[in-house]
Amino acid sequence: MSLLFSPTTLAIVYGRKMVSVQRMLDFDVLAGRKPSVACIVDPVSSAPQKTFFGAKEFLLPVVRTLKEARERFPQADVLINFASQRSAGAVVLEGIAREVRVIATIAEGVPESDTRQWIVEAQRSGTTLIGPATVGAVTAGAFRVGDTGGSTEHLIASKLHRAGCVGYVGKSGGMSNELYRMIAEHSSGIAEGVAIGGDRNPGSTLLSHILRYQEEPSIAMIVMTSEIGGREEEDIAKALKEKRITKPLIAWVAGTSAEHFPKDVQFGHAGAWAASSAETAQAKNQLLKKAGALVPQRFEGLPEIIAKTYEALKASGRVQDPMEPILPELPSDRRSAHVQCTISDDRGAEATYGSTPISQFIHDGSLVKTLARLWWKTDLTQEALTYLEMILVAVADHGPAVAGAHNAIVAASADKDTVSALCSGLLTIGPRFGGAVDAAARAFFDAHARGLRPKNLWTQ
Amino acid sequence: MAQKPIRETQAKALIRDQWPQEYAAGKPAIRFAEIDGSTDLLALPHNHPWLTEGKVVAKVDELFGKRGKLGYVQVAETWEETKIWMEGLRKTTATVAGRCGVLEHFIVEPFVEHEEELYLAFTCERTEDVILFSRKGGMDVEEQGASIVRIPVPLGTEPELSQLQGLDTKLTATIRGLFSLFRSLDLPSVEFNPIAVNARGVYLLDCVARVDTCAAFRQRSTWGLLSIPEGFGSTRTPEELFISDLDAKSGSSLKFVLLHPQGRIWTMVAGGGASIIYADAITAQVDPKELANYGEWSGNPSTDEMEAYTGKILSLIEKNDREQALIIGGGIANFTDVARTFAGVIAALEDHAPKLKNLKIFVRRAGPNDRRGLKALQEACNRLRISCVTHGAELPMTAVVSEALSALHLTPDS
Repeated sequence: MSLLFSPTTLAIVYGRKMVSVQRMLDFDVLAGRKPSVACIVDPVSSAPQKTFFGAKEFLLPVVRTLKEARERFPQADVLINFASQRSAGAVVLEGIAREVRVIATIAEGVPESDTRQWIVEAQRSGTTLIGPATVGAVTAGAFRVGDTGGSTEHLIASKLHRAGCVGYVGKSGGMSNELYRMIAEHSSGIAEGVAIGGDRNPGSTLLSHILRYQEEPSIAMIVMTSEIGGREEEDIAKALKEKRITKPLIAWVAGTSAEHFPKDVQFGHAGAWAASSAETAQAKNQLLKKAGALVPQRFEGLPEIIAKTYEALKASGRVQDPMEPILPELPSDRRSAHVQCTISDDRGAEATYGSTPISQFIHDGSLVKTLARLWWKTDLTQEALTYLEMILVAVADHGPAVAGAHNAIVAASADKDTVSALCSGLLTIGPRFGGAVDAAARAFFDAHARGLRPKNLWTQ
Repeated sequence: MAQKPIRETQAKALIRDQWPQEYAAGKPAIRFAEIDGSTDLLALPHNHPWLTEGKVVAKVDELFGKRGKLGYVQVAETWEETKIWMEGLRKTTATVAGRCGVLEHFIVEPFVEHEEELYLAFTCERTEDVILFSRKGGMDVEEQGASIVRIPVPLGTEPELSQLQGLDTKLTATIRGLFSLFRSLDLPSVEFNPIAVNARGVYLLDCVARVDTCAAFRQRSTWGLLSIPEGFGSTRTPEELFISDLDAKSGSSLKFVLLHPQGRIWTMVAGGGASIIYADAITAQVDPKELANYGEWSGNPSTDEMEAYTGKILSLIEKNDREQALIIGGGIANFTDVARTFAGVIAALEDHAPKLKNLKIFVRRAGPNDRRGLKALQEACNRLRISCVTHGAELPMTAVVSEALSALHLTPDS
């Protein structure tokens, strides 16, 4: 497959990144596909995550381990790794071991030796790595990694909800979004875009994505942006000369200002420093231009080259302007339901407790087992069930007859203070429990209201 | 953070203190005295008695190469002679490769008689480490292309013994020890040029190393209190230190380098990639000396962080009497909240407004909540009577640079 993602791609998101997950689901609505997130992995809690799909609220499954995520959702073969700089490595290596197809790692500041180890492991397993230190990637109209493309308004303006004919790859995550917009304004927009990240040894190379785009029939032209530092452009130039890249390649390497600085400046990206004169932006731009890439004089010249290249492709009949799809409306105001049931589910043919159909509980015929499932959302061991049953037997006589005492005990067991526990007991008093007390109180109150003296009340 | 060079003294101390037991036989003889700005030269022989026991070699240790050619290496018969040489250079200003800095750090070592100068280096490629070796080390190793043996060592494997023995049998254990340190200490590149062998042992006559600062969190026990030096000529200003501290404490990125305090164009650009492109756009159009700083912020910093960051930059703008422009630039953010980050910018502007008479602000930024953020900033500037123009994604990213330049009457390429 030469595009990374399709409209049926499913992802596992490592880390409870609510906003990013919601952005992915919003993209899915705009692209007219089903939710692209299968589940979240959160090592601390498996409480499901409230999310919206369009206007409809639903609970996204959360599991504690990647192992469980892979077992429960075997069709989800993309891992979006929001783990921190320190733990990102373990997640990537486990993802590779569990045969995830694409792993995108967002964290910045991962040690170089770690990323290089990932690369070796990923080559062995055929895993595609994106990042670290990136926002991710997007296949227009199909799938978005995390925050790629930004807010809804901007991703619509950048035409990420439907496929164009341009393949984009660059280092910077932030600039990728700027480039998606620029490409959308001067051509039919991107088919796919990848930000490989600003580190010195990113998990995948610019060239690997360019070669994928070369293979992909829906892509007619390629745009790449790079930065000062590293020598990968030499490989790209070689591929151009060897005609392994024949589609128009528009390229720009940023960082021409570095030579004007009076001191060493470490740019915002870890890989953005020149170890030798061959790694300067000037040298790399020249090299690419000589090899046949379309390189503007300055960054500001990119839109013109993109427009010209696209118009030429259009004139030759190789591409045509796409139809603009009618976009579904995303609700501007979303309100979460206040009460949600994570226990029973009465949708579908048969109601379930947890994920077990009610008929199963009926078949088992055990009240305690049913209660355990409903209260703790789990199957208790036989020992625990027996213990609970004993308790139930011991308090079985505590029916309506002693409901007040029982409720006082319940309130106290819930760690309420004495007065609250007492009130709970007293307020339970009604016609069928403590009826005499209640009736007496009413009689006294009534007599008092009528101004009856005690003696008169008694004789009445 | 990224790869950073460390001083020769720091690299040698690491090798001396962390040498792996299993290669004890190959441990090089490491003995040096370290001199920094506060070292008392008179007291030095007390801690390093060998200084007065024979010939010594002294070198400037300031993170630049070609010291022999520059006259920053001295071989002396006596410590007294070395001391006089160092006193002549100490704390003087020098310009090396266009960078102007103060010579403060020196390394002094015993002179080692040797015949042959060898070259040894370790570097990182994408999926392999590389050992480089040459029998013709010394000053002109760059011209020894053909004589350099290159041994790739794929990650996850060890260098083959037979290959190392083929280089020099006397050096095998030393190379294995150094290579293992190179890997275990997160040093992305180390170079020994030259390395010498005599009857008494192996000597690292020079050592240049870089550390991967991203690995600092797991190298605490080995790097110890390694303070990573700035490049030569990059003494950090209080403002740079303040922002670097802010950056270190934040999960987001806040970068600031003061380039020309009297420059007229200040930048605060969101995004590692965009900030480079803005710097390119400015230096391509006007005298680079007009670019006052390089500044980058990203990763959705908090309102408070943005206020502190902006405030520090405004304090520098106040000190400059010329007509100035502040470019608050950036691409279309993926997740950084424009309104929230701009609230910090506004708070800082409110603080500094009375002193910002000579400032015009030019903004181009887009992303989540951009309209609200841009509007709030524009309104705040109007209220504070600071001349300001704001743009969203409708303006090409660096077009705002041209606006700023023309407002300052800086004509392109003047």
